[in-house]
Amino acid sequence: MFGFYTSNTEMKVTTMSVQQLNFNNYKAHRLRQPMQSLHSNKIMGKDFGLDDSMHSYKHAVFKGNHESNINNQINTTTGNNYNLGGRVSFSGDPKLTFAEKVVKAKWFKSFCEMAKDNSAVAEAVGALFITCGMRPLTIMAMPQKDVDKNRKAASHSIASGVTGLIFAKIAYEPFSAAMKKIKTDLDKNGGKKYLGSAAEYLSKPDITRVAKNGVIKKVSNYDCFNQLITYGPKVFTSSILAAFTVGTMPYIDKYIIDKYILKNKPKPTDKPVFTTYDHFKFVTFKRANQEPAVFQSFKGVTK
Amino acid sequence: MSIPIKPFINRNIPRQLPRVISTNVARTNATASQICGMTAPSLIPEFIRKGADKSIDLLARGIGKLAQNKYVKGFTEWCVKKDIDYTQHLSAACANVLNGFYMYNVATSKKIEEEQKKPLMLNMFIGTVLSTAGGYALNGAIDKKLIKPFENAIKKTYDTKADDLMKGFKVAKSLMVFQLLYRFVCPVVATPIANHISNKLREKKEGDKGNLTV
Repeated sequence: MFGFYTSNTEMKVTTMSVQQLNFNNYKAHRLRQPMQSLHSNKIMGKDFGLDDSMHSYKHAVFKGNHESNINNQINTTTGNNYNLGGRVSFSGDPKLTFAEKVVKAKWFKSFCEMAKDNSAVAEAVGALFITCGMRPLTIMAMPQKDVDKNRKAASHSIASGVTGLIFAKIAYEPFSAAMKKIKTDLDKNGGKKYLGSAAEYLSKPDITRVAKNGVIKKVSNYDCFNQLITYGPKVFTSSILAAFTVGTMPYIDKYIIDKYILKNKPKPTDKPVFTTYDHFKFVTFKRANQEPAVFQSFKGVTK
Repeated sequence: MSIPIKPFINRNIPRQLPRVISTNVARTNATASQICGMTAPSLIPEFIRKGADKSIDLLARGIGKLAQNKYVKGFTEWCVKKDIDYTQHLSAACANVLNGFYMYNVATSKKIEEEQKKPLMLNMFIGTVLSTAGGYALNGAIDKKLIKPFENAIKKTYDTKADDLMKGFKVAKSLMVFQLLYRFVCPVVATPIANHISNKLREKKEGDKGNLTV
């Protein structure tokens, strides 16, 4: 049970679904009104009456005349609909299990669909979550004398994740787009345009199996082939991805990390850096025991 | 003198929308452009889009020819028959190829000193082996214990799309487990172990050298 403020003194009581409660919970968190002002009737036009705690529906405020309005999803004052279409926050109903909370989240559905249709990009997105969230946080939490060392490591992690996603989008997206075309052709024309004789075994229906742990599995030739095409190229191109990451890292270091992220920015070298053209300019004929200027700074390739 | 009259605006009054419009918009989950019947103009020029479409068409034809290959056909049918989840093997293979490339890069690099090469390569090798073994173990453990409640939850929430989502969930699970191990656990956990081993090796080497000189 929960109430809405409709005017100065009146309040409408409605029986609400979990989604409504979550929305109001979110709204109360977002507006961050103090307790006193929430309890008082000073707030006009704000259609909530929650305190700022997590399980706020337990402490819902009831004031004024109540009017039961069961299962009405619309606040009659504002005309807004609070049904969010399955979008549930993690701080929601404690009755839901962990698996149900995760499954009901919107990202779960889209991520699973992406993993099925485009595994390589889904892997890059998952890696982005790890490299941009978990790993930098743990690196920064580690005690280190030099803060810049941690900062550099964390930003390297973020950069590797981002470059991985860009590479995956460029390299593997066409494969999933091609497979979508093949799928539509297979469904509509029986695979005449692209698959030819292969349509026979790829159009076979799903086989249902029950695993040892009781999980019902559904497998099909098409899904297996789709997985091979969308994820298989990654095995052969992962060395190119590594080269791409290694190649872009010095530029990210130079133009982003050294400039904006590090506290103690690396100082420019005192000595002027000579180009090969400058070296040739300074070449002079000298005595045999005196080394010419070109080779004074030359220490091999390792420099 | 005329006094300018300021219009009184009561900002506390909640804005009232017509209920019909608000409910329709909120219940359909449709975007504004979809409701108005308009499509957003694409930023990509038309000739690029056409070119991309043609190249994807060519790629699809190539994939079709690949599908007709008897080895590919045999492989897919064998995987389905034997119920082999090869996503995890592909994921492990990808990570191993990547790490192998990095190791090769370290071995052939002229910028890295010879003394530092061995510990670095050892670090990568131990990290790869531990992550691969851990990935298979964790994936197996999730398959045994955690997948059942997720299956129930998916069936409960998505009735018609449950089968497709379950397939996607299995793939996503394998991918995420291996990514977590290679990108997070390997650098955080395996690196100190590898450092410890390389330090011990170095100490042993220095000790041998000392014995030789004595």
